[in-house]
Amino acid sequence: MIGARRWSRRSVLLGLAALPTGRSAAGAPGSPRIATTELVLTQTALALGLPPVAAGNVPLYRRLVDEPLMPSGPADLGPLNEPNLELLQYLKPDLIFAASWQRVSQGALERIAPVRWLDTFALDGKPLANAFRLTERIGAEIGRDEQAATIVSNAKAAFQQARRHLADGPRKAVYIVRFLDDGRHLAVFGRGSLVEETFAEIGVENAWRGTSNAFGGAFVGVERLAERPDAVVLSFARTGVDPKAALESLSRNPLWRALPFVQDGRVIPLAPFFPAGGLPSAVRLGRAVVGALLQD
Amino acid sequence: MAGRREVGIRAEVAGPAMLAAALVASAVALFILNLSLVPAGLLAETVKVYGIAPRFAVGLLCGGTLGLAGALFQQVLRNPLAEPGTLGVFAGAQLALTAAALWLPALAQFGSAAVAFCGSILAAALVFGMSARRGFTPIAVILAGMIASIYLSAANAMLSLFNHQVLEDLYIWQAGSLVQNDWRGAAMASASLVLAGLVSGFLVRPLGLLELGDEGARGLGVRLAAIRSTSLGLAIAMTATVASVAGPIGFIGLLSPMLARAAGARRAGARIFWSAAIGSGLLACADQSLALIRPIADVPTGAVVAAIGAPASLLLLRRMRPVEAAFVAGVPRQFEASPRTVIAALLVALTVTVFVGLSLGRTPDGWFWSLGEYLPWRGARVAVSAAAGILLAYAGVLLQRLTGNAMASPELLGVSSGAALGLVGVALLATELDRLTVAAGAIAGAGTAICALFTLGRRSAYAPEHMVLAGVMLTALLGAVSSVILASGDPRAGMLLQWLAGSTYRATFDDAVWASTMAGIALVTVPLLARPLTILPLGAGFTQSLGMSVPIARVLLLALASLATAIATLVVGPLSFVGILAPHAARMIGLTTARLHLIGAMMIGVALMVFADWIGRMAAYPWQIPAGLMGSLLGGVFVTLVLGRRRFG
Repeated sequence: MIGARRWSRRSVLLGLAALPTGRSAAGAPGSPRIATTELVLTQTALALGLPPVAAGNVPLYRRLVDEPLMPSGPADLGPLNEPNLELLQYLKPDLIFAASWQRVSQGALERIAPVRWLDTFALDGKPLANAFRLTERIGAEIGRDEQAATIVSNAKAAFQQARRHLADGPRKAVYIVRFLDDGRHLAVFGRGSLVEETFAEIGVENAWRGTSNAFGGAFVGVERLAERPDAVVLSFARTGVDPKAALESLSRNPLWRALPFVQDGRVIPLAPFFPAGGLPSAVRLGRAVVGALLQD
Repeated sequence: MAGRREVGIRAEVAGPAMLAAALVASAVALFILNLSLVPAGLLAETVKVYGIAPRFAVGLLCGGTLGLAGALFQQVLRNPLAEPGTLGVFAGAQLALTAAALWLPALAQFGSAAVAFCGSILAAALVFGMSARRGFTPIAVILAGMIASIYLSAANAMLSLFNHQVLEDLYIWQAGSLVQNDWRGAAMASASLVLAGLVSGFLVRPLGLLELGDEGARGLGVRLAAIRSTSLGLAIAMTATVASVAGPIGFIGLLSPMLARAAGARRAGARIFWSAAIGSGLLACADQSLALIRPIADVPTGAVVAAIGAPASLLLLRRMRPVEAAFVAGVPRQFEASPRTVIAALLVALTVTVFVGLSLGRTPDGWFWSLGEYLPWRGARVAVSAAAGILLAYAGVLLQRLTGNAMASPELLGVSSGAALGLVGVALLATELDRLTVAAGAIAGAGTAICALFTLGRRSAYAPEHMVLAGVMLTALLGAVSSVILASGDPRAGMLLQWLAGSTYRATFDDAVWASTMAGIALVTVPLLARPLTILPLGAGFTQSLGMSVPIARVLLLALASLATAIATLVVGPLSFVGILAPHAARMIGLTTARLHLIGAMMIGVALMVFADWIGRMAAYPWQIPAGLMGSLLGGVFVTLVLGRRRFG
């Protein structure tokens, strides 16, 4: 069970001495070696072109966020609630980006390297504004202010362009939903969500006005969508999940079939995006919505 | 003679029939109210025909199915503990859904009902496999079911902890929802109920004969193994249908047979029939009431049923005579060695475990020893694990000696769950969570649980079944509360999961000092406890004649046990099995006098918890499996192997 070869004190010391050369995998020369303990922070760092040496829950990033793509370099720190501190200490990053919600339980990160505790979760219910701030802040911390400024202005330009495209078409309220496997419930996004704010930027009305949780999402039965019968439904699935499966199981559901937008064929598939994500997720969503609505 | 018999039968029908009729009538009234409250509009008719009506039907059918299955389980296993959830059916369904969501999203095209059904059948097959060799004797089936439940739930807790952002999709199912959009669920449930009803018609006579005991039934030509496996298989298939249509709905299967019996149904046939009828009314009634308040509070049916069902079953239980003691009285010592040698050996084992826990670790490049730079991370975790091990073993010895009950332990009696409930309550209500507030919550919870437990237990002379059933109920209550929190999308859900899994990750130096102080206090009390713990089990009369006040000694010991459990639960969560494992293990290796029993159990507790914490940090590196979960996996093996084997092997 235990590899006996690494046990001598000398070999361990030698191994430790040899480490710095072996560990400069990520980033351009001169860039700090950073660690990110939360999905949105990882996403923003990757968008700024600086892959972290270690990131929280890499498999979850690939499954949920996916944009920008995660390179193979970063070490996986494990669950977001419990990033592996011993591993982090072993990797000795120069700077750690952690979410402020993690501070209560992971204050000990400060013993490993300087930590920037950042709000990844918008307490004011404005996640897009927060995503802009986050990009600029992380950019400044790692000496990539210019890249950050470019990303921010590109995003704003993309939203402007989307708004112009959509202004010509018919104005319709839009639901953004993700269907659950049970064929009866869906996740829908409203007040306080990245979807809501992105919609405001690109000039689309969000059809969901019901309650939503801290992240702006809600799990409801499909019949609740009847509150806006004139809406368009954009449905997305998670990365790696076939969106057709859910629609197929819904096609046997009489309640669903009775909804006007189903009868009129106004249910349009949308490319995957992360509804609790940062700036790249918002831009991806904006583009996808334009594509879906104009194709309609 | 014939006349009296007729009167008896009439009384047997009147009571349960009236109860069932009252329940079903209220359910119908609520259903009509719900129909009339549908807002006029586009979908009004469709919602009535495909939403509200099938939901009512599913409530009746699933309730009936659970009532029938519960009565079958209790009849076959001759145990009021037996209910569909006890045999791991729901835990299996849940694990299947979790695994499918994580690794096989393609399965979604078959629908989650099919996945849940397969999962429950697999879990039941596991339980069957484990108990087949012993001819499906009640104790073998119940132990196998408990173990299967523990393992499947632990696996599920681990996956949820690591991926709860992905698995939030399942929380609606997990909390038990009867929401319907068509008649498919109702069709499935009615087919299963009709079929099961027919088959149980044939089983009534042999099942009635089981009440004569194994020998008597065999003498009358009953093939015990065949009857037991057929009835259990039937009940499991029925429960699996409910799991796939509505999710885990606990306590209906437990309460309905109890209510049928309390209302006067005595014979097997009557009990099975009326249990189904009562279950039907019970679930439909509860679900329709919740549908009514949905605009104000959208709470999941399964969780609410469990939250109400747990205390209700406890109250009903008080009226019941304990059935035969189904659990073993204790484990005899396994070998002869002088206590001095045994203690010395334990000391060596303990030192090695603690040393390894502190110094052996992993990096991406392999294993290595280090006592230097990583000590601050490991030290606190090892210290709190050790303290929790001491405190749980201490509480376990106290409870076992006090009740003379081999299954008594903080975990199985639900004292840990009580502490956990107290802590969850504090976490949700209090604005500031300092150590004292948190500890006060846990202590209040554990204290309340232990008081309830012993008030209940006194009537039945601490009958094992009553005590363990009370524990099962408190644990179910905890499960219901956490389901509601998870389903609500509360941002604290992640933290709650982590804590309930018994993670030592957050342990700080201060925590270590605090927990060690408590463990130290426990150690200091050992010499003081030796006398009462030796004398009390000998009986009240004997104790008093030796000049000791029984009530005072009892209350004192109970207070100590709940205090120790509360502190340990703060550190490693409510899950670990150290509190049952350590006292038994100490006795098995020959430490039988009160003082040695306590000391040996504490040493074993330390070694176990520290080992559980270490293996949890190493096994899935860099991911860390919480010590509490790891402990329950280790403890589960012990409970099956030792307690199951001693009497029946």
